[in-house]
Amino acid sequence: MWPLLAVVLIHALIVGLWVAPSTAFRDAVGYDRMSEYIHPWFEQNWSLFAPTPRRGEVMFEARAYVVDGETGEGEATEWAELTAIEDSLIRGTPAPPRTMKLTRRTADDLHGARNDMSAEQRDLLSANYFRTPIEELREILEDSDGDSGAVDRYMRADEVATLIATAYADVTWGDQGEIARVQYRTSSRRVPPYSLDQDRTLEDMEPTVRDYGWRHHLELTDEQVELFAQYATTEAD
Amino acid sequence: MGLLRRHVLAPVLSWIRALEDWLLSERRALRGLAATRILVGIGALGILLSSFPARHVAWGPGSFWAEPMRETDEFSALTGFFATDSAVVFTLEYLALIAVSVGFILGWRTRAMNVVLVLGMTGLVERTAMLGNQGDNIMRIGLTLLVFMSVAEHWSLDARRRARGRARLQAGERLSLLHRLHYGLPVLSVWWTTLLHNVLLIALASQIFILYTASALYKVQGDLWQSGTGLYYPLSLPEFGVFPALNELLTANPFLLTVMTYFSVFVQLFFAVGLLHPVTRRLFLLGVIGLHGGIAVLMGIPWFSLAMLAYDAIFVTDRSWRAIENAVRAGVRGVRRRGLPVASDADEDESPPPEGRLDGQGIRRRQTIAERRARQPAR
Repeated sequence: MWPLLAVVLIHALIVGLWVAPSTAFRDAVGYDRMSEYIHPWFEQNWSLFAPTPRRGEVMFEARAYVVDGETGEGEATEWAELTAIEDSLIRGTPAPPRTMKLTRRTADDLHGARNDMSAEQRDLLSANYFRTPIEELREILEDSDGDSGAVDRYMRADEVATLIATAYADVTWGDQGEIARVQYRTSSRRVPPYSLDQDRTLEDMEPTVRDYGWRHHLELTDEQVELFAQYATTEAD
Repeated sequence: MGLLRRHVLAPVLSWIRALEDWLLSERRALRGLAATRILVGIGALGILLSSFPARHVAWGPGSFWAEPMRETDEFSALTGFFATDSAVVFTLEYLALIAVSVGFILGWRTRAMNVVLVLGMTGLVERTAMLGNQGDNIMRIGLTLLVFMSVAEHWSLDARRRARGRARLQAGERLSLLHRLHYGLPVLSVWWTTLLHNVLLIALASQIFILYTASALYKVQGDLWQSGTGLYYPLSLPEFGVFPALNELLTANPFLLTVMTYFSVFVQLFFAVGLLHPVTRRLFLLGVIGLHGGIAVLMGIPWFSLAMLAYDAIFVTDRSWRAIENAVRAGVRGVRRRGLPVASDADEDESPPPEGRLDGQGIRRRQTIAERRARQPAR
């Protein structure tokens, strides 16, 4: 009886330390040792909306460069705001589907990686990589001063963003010609501080846009494009 | 020395004996855990149904866009089950998981359903961890702990079958191991299953206390929470705008906003201690119902909220659950008497049999701690 009780109490202690803010006790046990026990099954994080509640709106847009099959002339499409799809999935729906966070989380990942990069690295992101392999961007980023973990995270998020832009472009502009390349961009704005007269709302804030260069149009199967259409053709209201 | 023994040693020893008694005499919170089972099952079912149209893009063969993130998948042993290129195969797997969640809600072969449900839900949602939330984590952790507890003693199909098996036992029949398994009768020693049940119940309760307390500790250090406007910011974002006009209305008045913000923090901060007294326990349970209800409706994360409420159900006493049960039964009977059609069968009123309890235990439960102590033989 007592050993079983002890196991449960030790478990609770480790979980308690894991979710707690940094303290002498937490540091004494050490992150790695706790992580070994917690990950992956008991992973949890309860600093939701805290200490600072989420207050930034993020947006994700995509466009494509479409080459007309007959004339051979190419043109860039208008920017399409994919996040608007997710807004319409949420609005008026008390139980929205999981895809409601698809581009928001992608934009969050991109912003998170950018924030940990040096200014020099950030400037490199707006270069085009539709002829040169994107792996060269990784090499250049790693060669410049800055956080290499952030490079890794950016490259992963970039691939996700490029896949989403590609799939969206195939669904939306695929019938207009050959999609030669795609581009995505993200932006964010912050809910203005609370004030009694509420003279400014989120809508009044000017978004900060972050540009990235053109990227390869990636190869997707017809079935993948077809399945993605369920999301991409959602009417944004 | 006598003073020390009487006022320190004796109370400690009697406390240890009370703990032993609590752990070994009977399985606790059986009705609360039955409610947990039903609610967390509805939570899982809700996730599956609300995302059904989006299932391919979220987790299925249409979720190719998340492939780069899968390099760091820590659940690859489970997520692999859903990693198929075939939309048909994926849909069949998805439907099977829906069936498992329904089986779990109904309490049919509950322990097996419980194991499959926690493995299946983890395999599904962790396939695209990017789209997940902390609700996935608490659902997985809670379901894992539930596996070792008795969560189908009430309001379940298993309870009915067990009652039939027990009737055969009482008729003097001897049941083989296979028969016992069929009827869901205990095959391990009662001492051991009772202890396991109660210890894991402590683990679940601790998990909930840790969750609320940590959540509150992070909030109290935030300036925006301290200034009573913390809720305004997320509620202004389109991503939490299920009913934007309602959010605007609720945050427009600074006094109401402050009350709601402080309410969110303090319900969590004092939840664990609030449970200690019968009056505050009721207040705090109503408080968390309000908190999670609000989050569910205003912020569009209903299944996370429902999972939390499911685990909070263990803190409602068996007595309160019985009162709720009786009220529901009376309501159903009243509806029936008025001749309105109700979907139920004749077994409806058959109360689930008391499990492993002696007659008159209901009376014993109502005794105060002092009375119970007085009954204990002195050491």
